[in-house]
Amino acid sequence: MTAARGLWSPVEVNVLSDDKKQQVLVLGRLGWTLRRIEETTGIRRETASKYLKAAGVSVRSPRARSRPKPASEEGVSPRVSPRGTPEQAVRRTHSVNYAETELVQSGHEIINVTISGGQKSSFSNMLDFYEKSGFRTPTEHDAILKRYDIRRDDIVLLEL
Amino acid sequence: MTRSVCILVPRYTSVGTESVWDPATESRFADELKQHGDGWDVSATEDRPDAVQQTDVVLLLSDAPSAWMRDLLEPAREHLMKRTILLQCQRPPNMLNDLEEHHVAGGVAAVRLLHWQSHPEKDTGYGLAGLHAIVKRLGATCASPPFASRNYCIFAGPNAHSLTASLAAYISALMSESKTV
Repeated sequence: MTAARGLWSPVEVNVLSDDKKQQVLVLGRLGWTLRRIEETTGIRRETASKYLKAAGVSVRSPRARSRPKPASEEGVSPRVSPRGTPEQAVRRTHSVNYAETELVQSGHEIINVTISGGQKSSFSNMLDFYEKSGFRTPTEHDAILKRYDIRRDDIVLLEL
Repeated sequence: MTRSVCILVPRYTSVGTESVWDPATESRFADELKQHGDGWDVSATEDRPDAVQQTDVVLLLSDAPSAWMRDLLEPAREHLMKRTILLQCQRPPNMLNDLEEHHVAGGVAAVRLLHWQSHPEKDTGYGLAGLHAIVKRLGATCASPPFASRNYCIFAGPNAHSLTASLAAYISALMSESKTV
């Protein structure tokens, strides 16, 4: 006769190792989506979500990536940057953290795009340095931007 | 008279090595500069105060002047900064703020240097930051803001197809400028 196993024996409890847990927390804090965390770490979205919520890290859904409507469509009055420049010229703003895109994951860090202030620049201008320096070709960048639904003439704000 | 360029490489500290270059990379960088330079004497040495006494241009593998440089009294400090190029700056455009703060002769972003190091086949002459006046003297075109600040801008050396070729062209223009002052 074999001894009955407890309901919460180590075999049955899905507990992440400290390393895995840290990995999830770091990626979550970087703003990665649960889907991306799952793809990268192999840890199920539900499990990652549980740990992130327990740590007080807000979880991003894929919808959070979707392109925000232009300010004019949303009826939002123009934002004013800390330097006092009206941003009426900003056709679209991006809350996407660009540091999580493939541009960075391939080892080619581009820029942390932020809408919290600083100078205005188009993606095209931002990518110029990297293209002219030979990091990536414009065609390669275009393919990535297309996947993220970002246009070259979209305006980003840089925190400098 | 032979002009000299000195590459200052941080070596070992009490907490370990600071150097990001192996001897082969150091040697390759110096050789390429020499090849594109105008008969310069190019040397790489540990970052020490006595290494730059007779040097025309200093290339410092750091994102800021060394502690001993900052401790120099004026006008020695200003004189040294005017002929110092930082080789491990932050990525642009942030690096321009650092250059403005330190009043150095120019800068290369660490990420740009890494690209030269790891992808020589894809390298171009673009991506240095230099003083507007020197860039103009060089006949190059400055990038527009945010890749240009009050005194500095990102540029490519004309007809330069690599980082070191572009850097050599800039150093030549810098040496010419210092001769005329």
